[in-house]
Amino acid sequence: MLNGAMVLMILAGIFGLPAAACSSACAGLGHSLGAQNDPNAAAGQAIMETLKWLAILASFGSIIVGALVKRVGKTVGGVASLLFCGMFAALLIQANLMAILPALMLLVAAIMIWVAPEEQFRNIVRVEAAR
Amino acid sequence: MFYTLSPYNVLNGLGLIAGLFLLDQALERRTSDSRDRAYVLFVLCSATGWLAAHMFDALVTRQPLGYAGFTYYGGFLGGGSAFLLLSLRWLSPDQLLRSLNCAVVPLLVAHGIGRVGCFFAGCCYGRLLGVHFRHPTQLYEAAFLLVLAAVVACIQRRHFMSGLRLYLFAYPTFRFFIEFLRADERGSFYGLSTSQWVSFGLLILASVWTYVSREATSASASRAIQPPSTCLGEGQRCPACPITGGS
Repeated sequence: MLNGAMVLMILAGIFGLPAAACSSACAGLGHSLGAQNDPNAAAGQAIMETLKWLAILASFGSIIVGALVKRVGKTVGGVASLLFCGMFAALLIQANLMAILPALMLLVAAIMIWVAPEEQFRNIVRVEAAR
Repeated sequence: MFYTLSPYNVLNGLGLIAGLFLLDQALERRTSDSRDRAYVLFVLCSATGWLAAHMFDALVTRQPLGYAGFTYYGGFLGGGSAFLLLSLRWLSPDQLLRSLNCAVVPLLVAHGIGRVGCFFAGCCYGRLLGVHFRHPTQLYEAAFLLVLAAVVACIQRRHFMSGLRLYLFAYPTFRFFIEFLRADERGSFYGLSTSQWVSFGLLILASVWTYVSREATSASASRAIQPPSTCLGEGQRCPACPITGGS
């Protein structure tokens, strides 16, 4: 179960990279059109820039947390997975449909982490204290 | 269709997942006390290596950071250096060597699968072979890496600690020669590509390491049979003496 969640989180991060690239392209397009200096479009451009960094953070974050999911524990892994799912879902504000697949994968991963048996996790502190 | 999966991303992701599973198993079998610490360090240093691979490519191809690709050696040197630095704080020298030996087969498998991704993406291509075709250097390298992974895994069953040294000799040698068949833009200095210079440096490093460790082994072996200065000689009672054996 936890191995499945790990695979899903890493693949969600990999599949989220095109979504992040698309988001960056949206922000770059607004920048080249001068939206940051346009009083009517400046707020929208700020949102685009924020979403770009959210997408990049969600992609790399889900790869790294996915790789470490057995070690970080149920709470941190599950909450991080939901958080990254929300970040990808936020990209729908800019009609970035590429973010749907990674968001769904992270949602499934969060559920899998939630239902995974406690003994599949390797809490570092607990293991070393036991030794 | 609102989504296109790139084979490059998919195969690199699969390589990463396969490498992580193999690394987890190897660390579990071979390092009992430092398993979790080494695994966390490897994951964090992989992220550093990814960044270094991107920066190295931007440096050698003289492109802006956003347009550059990835260079394996950049990731290897960046991630490896980060691992060595962090391990000074978190791992003992013995644990460091064991962990690095655990990482050899996973690295080879992940790299081999990633090279198949390069083939599908059309990067890292070779010189023209006839009129229409090019040398599939990505596939040559993928095949070599997967065969080397199998060879290292077999050797490590008996001589576990020799895996890293074998890797440091075999891969740079192969890479040095395969670079002559490649035709993509990857920077060059004095007639050799950047990767050939890095391969050359790694081979020197591996040779020096082998020489130093052999000297250290032979020195400790000769120290073990040297009689202490207080030796009373054969037939005398001397409990700590390795020559008379306490007789």
